[in-house]
Amino acid sequence: MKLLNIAWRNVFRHTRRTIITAAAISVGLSSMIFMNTMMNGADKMASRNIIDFETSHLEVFARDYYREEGVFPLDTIIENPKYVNDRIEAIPGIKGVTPRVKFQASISNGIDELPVLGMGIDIENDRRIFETGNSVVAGRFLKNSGDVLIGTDLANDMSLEVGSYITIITKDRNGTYNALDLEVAGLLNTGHPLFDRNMAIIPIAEAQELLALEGGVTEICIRAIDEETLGPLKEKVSDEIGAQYEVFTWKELNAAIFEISGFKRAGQFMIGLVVVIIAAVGIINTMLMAVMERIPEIGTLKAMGFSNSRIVRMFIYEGGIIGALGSALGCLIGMLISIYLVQVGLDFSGLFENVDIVYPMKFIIKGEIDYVNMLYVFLFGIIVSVMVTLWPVRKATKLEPVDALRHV
Amino acid sequence: MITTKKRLLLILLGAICASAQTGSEILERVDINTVVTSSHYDATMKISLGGTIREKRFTGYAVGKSHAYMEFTYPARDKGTRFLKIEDEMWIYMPSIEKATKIAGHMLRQSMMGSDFSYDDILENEKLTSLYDIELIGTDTLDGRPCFVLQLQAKVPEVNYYSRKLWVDKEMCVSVKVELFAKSGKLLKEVSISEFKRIDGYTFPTLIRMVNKLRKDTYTELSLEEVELDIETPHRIFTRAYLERK
Repeated sequence: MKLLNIAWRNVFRHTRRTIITAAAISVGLSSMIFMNTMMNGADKMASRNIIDFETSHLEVFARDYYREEGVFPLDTIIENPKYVNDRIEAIPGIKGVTPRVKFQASISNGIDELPVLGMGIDIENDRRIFETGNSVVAGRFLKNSGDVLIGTDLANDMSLEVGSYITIITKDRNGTYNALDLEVAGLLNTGHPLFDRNMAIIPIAEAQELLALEGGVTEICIRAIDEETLGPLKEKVSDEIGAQYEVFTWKELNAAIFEISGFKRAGQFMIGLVVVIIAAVGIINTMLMAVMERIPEIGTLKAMGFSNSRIVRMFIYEGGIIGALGSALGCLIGMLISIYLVQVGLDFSGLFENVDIVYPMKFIIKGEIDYVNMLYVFLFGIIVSVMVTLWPVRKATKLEPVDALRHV
Repeated sequence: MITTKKRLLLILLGAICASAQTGSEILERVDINTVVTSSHYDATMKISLGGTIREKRFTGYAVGKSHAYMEFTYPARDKGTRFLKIEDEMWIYMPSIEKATKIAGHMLRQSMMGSDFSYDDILENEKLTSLYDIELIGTDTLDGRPCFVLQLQAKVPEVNYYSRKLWVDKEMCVSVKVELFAKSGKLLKEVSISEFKRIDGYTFPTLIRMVNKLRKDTYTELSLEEVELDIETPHRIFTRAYLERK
């Protein structure tokens, strides 16, 4: 206890050195926390966008419909959606079910033609499980036949506004061209680039008519009550509707995106590693200096009869105290930055304005704090500080007291 | 222009429209006049979009309606881009990729080389009489020339265009204008053919204008020169190997 006391006093005897060292540690640690908050936030936003707009929790397709992402065939569809829908609705743990029809199309404003993803939705049920209806920023949601919802970015690209007329062109199930004149009923701003930039949403009956689907749909989306137990629910749904259908979770359907996410994690780890090394080098540097200039002091202690192990322990305590101070400061700063990120977010949109990004979110990233990670970062700061003290101190204790005293 | 001698020949061949009674009879005679066994030509494609005109050139080979090969020669950017069509499949070869890619699915709707033609339009090879119910709905005058007007309605589901309206020149017995409609009845494209060349008893269209009605201020004009018909076309031209040759 006495040693700890001495260490404590030593730390505050050299106020300036302590502040500099602790500051170096805190800068490193707060950047680690900042990185973590941003990455978590980006992942969470992407997941929310997928669940709330694109797939919900589970999606049912006719067997062999789903070949790869971005392909929307019309030759394998769910011919009897009512039957499938009713069977799924009867399963406990389901919050809502809605059919959708997705198809490749172009829209024309009479001047230009742009490729889009067409989507037919059930006006009543879709609102129950998706946020699309709450993202209408101008005009209104779908109501009548002949209505279309498009994203604000697409509207800008084609100079469209609420009330404008567009033509949607596609090929039906038989390969015959079909086209519909539609009135823009509302504009969507979802934060999901696919929806804001590339999508034309129409009532499902019209999509079925346009594509000659005779009441068929391409997919049925399911929202679960509990987001955590999708695996068992998927099995249940699959058993209930039979082998001519396939069920996927939203994660499976977006494997590519989560691969990017994994890749990003690796990138994050590399950046994190660099930040850690910089922080560690800073800590080593200041700690090394702190020990070196105190070698004569170590000589004095040895001359007074301090054993080597007690000297090492004393320095470990000092390293630990400085490390704890720096880590606490770093975590505090990191937390303040994180709170700002959670509340306000960072706007990257200018940076990516003209880049087509497959990642399903817009570039105003809001942070997401991970407190467990913060604890790790705190411990990391202390451990590194202690570790880097060990080597120079041990070296110093090997010197004869006389040499140590003479050391400058 | 058609010389008296050649017109006489035409009459001898029997492929004139005057004696035709029904829409399908007219179309069959149009086919006799225009469907060649094989052809070779140099083509210039003028693509007009919003007032600017871009020119592209290619050399083409075709056998019947089923096999076609095209290779772009101008401008430098498109030089070496090749297309191969066999029956209802189509491949594109781009020198930068060095590999042929099949054009399938919804890609077929897209514009070919930025023109008003879609790949679908190029791929069409079935006889209209086997896909459509044809009705002679009246007569009209186009550019001072009397025409029959035919209404074509799909009789099988697998057609690109659900209905078409055809203007057939009474004297030359060739179609001079076609309107292509979507299932919903919307006019999608308009083709007009304003120049023909009499070669070996055929009336071969040499100036074709395609207008995509869903865009504004756009048309593509295809003019064919150096046309040779019923030639011996080496079979190797219509192979993937030839398409991907270095």
